[in-house]
Amino acid sequence: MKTLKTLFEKLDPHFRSGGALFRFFGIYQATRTFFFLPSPVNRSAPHVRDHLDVKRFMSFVILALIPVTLFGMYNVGYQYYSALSGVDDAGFFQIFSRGASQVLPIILVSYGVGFFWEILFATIRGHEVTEGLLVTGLLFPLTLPPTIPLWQVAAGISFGIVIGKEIFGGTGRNLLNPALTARAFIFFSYPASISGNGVWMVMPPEVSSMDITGGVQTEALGGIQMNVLNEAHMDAMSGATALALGQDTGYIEATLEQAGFTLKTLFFGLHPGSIGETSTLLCFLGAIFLMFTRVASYRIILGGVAGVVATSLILNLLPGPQGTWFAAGPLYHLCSGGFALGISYMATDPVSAPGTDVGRWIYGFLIGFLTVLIRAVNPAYVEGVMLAILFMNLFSPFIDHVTVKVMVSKRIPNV
Amino acid sequence: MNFLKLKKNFNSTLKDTPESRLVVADAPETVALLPSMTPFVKPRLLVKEKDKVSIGTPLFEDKRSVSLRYLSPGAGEVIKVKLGPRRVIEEIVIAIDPDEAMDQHLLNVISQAASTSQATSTSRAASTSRPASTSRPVSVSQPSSTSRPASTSRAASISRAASTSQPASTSGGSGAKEGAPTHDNLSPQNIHEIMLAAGMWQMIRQFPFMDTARHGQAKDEAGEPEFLKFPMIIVSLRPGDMFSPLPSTVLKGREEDFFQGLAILGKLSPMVVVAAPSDQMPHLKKIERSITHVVGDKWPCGDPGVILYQIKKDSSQNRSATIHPQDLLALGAFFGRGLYDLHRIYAVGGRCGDRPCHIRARLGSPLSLVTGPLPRDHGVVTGSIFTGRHALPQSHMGFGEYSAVVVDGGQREHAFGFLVPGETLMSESLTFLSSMNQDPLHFDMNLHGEERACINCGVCHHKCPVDLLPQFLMKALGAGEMEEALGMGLLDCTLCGLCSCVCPSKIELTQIMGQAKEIYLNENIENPV
Repeated sequence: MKTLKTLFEKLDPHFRSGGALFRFFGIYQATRTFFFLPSPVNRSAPHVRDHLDVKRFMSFVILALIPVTLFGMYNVGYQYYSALSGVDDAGFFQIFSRGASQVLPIILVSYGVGFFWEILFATIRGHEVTEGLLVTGLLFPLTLPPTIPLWQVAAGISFGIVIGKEIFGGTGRNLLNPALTARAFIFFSYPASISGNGVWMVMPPEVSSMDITGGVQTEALGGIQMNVLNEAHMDAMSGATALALGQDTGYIEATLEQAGFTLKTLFFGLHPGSIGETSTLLCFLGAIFLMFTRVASYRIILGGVAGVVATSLILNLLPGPQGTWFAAGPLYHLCSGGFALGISYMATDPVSAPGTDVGRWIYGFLIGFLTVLIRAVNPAYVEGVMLAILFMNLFSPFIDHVTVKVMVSKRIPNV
Repeated sequence: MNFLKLKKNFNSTLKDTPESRLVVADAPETVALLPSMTPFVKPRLLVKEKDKVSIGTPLFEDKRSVSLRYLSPGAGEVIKVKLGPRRVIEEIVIAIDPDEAMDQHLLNVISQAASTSQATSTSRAASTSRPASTSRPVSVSQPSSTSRPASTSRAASISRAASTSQPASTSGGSGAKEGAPTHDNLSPQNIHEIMLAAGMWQMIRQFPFMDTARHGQAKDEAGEPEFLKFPMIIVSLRPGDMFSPLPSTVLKGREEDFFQGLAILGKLSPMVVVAAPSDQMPHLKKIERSITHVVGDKWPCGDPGVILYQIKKDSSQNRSATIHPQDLLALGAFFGRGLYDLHRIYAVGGRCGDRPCHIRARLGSPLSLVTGPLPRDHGVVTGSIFTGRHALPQSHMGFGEYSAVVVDGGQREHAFGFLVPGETLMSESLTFLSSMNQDPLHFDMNLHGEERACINCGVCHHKCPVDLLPQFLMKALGAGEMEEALGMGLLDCTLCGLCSCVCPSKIELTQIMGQAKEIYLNENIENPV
């Protein structure tokens, strides 16, 4: 630590104004503050300051995301080997390293390209490299399917960072969640890589050469040819996510169960899906950690859960198609798709969420409401969380406006 | 007695808070007035260097309201008028003469106050009025009895009692009541004029700006000046933070002055609120009958602005006033005993030489006298660690500052600051292990991070004792929307400092609010509504 400090002190003059490497001050500053958090003496009241700063604030989100990321890697490997019917033969490390070799490049590209833009803007604008990217750079890969081409990761994070954040002025001034902006960009620009049934798991070459998008899948989903394929194998081959299922006849629970999506599987997360979204358990464990440390607003998360539960219960009671997600109860809605990931880490991004307590309840609830609504009644998009959160991001200034007005009207005027 | 609960407060416990014991300081060689520390005053100097002054000689006045004069706290020679940036008058330093004399004008005022206060004879006041084992006399005593004619020779008798180390006191026993003046002859207007002349009107601060009360200029039908009473006067017995003087120490033996002061305040306002911190209640039995509200013992439960916010019924009470308890004692001593009390009890905390305690010293004493020598890399914060100033070591205690805290002020960086578990790091958040225990924590003057854009996390709102939304206020003020900020309650802000303290983006919220309030006040003075 001491040698590192001496090194920084030696390098310092070169990066200062007038030094030969002044143009790289942003990189230098970011590296140095990563190791040594600056703590100047403040000259104005109050004279004691909390140790919590944005860097630690954001680090806690990453801390909560680490189990989700590691499980995501394991799950990618698990799906790979279960497609090979060899998940029992493969050891833990074999599974994990297979998944990691798929996921790590995505994360590295996301961080690398993200930091490039961040430092570029910071250098041009002459401010410090901000910490928001630490979270964005990890959240974005977790929302992607493991098969995503790396160049699309680079394009997506570039869009998310530049259009979603930097043109508004950087972290703290953005309207939309940058990670979701990046994902929405991929979603609408390259739908083939991020929707459909073939992208949610990494297929071994011999399996993916089979026709998995045609007859086998359809029939398998109908439950007709269950005798042909064992459950896990079928599920693996179809590669569909639970949300893509649903039909006009029958019951959604039965359909899901036949396809291998029991509530337990959905909850623990060993099923195909985006890298980080599959394990509801780990997402919510992280959420509890963030709520406990008050880094994430419990109002948003609980509001979102309440929104999902209330909306899905109402839809469940309404007469409607019993075979689609319209009729899936609250538990299935909570555990499937990216809801757990989205409500815990994306919706709680304080920058794009409302700033008032009441506003946060409303915001969370409406995200839950819209998520279920999009899943249940909009056949075009099987996944509703991303759109629900982005939509509510746009509304949060309005929610703030209204709730602040209400709060102000309750005050005893003082002018 | 009402209990005022406040959930939003500063929860961490800090090390080295002052103990209740009282030490009497040596007599200072210099005393000073600090015009730049006096809120919202445009000072005009009335003395220059090398002038001889007495106790009570006006040193400067407010350009905008010349009746507000700031009187010298000591007699001697003006040795320095210290100017700061842009010729701000920072300090007027006076070297104390061994034989201190009182200004003739002030003596007249004292006798006027004494003669107007209808007092039955009280011989006690004359004899026990002087405290302090100081080698030099400091406070000037003046018998309040009207049985003898007011004469300058008697008034000028500066007490040389140097033996007793007891605080100035009427010996508050059973006989205290019959001997006390009743002030029945004093009209609010009289009190106002006497306090102005004695330089004591500045003790009363008025909300929402906490400036010197600019009341009392109204005229009645006959054209006589009439005093407009304050809607409410709040006396918070511990208006400061955990380093401020304890009411039990301050009030010990001075109950009678306290009641006298309250009686004077009762003339100025129909509603006098006395708020005591809950942890001090067992020590305040003697004045319990005067206490109207009990507040929490954490900062900023005792802040008068916070108390006002909690108890005000409508906007007519926004222009209420407050007075510091020690000023109230001085006021009580002045009207009750004719004693012009120049001593205050300062609480000393932090890494001061001796153990943290209370020190009885002259108004405007040098910091070195109060805190002792400073350890390396340490600075002194006077007033309060949340609202006070970072004082230079050679500075003096300012008006309205009752505590001095020696705080660690070295430049430093934290290796991997964002990952350490932090079992000893002070934080109001739950992201450090220190939130798990209640042990007193070390604290320093460092910022612990870099300034960032607001991330709208709302931590400031969750700490704001008056339920403001500092993040929205800050943005409104940044956009120049003063009207909107006022609508959101800017003037309720008591500048308690909690928002800046907890902000993870290290935004100077308190400073922004304070500056906005100051701009608004200055506009209001220049263009009164």
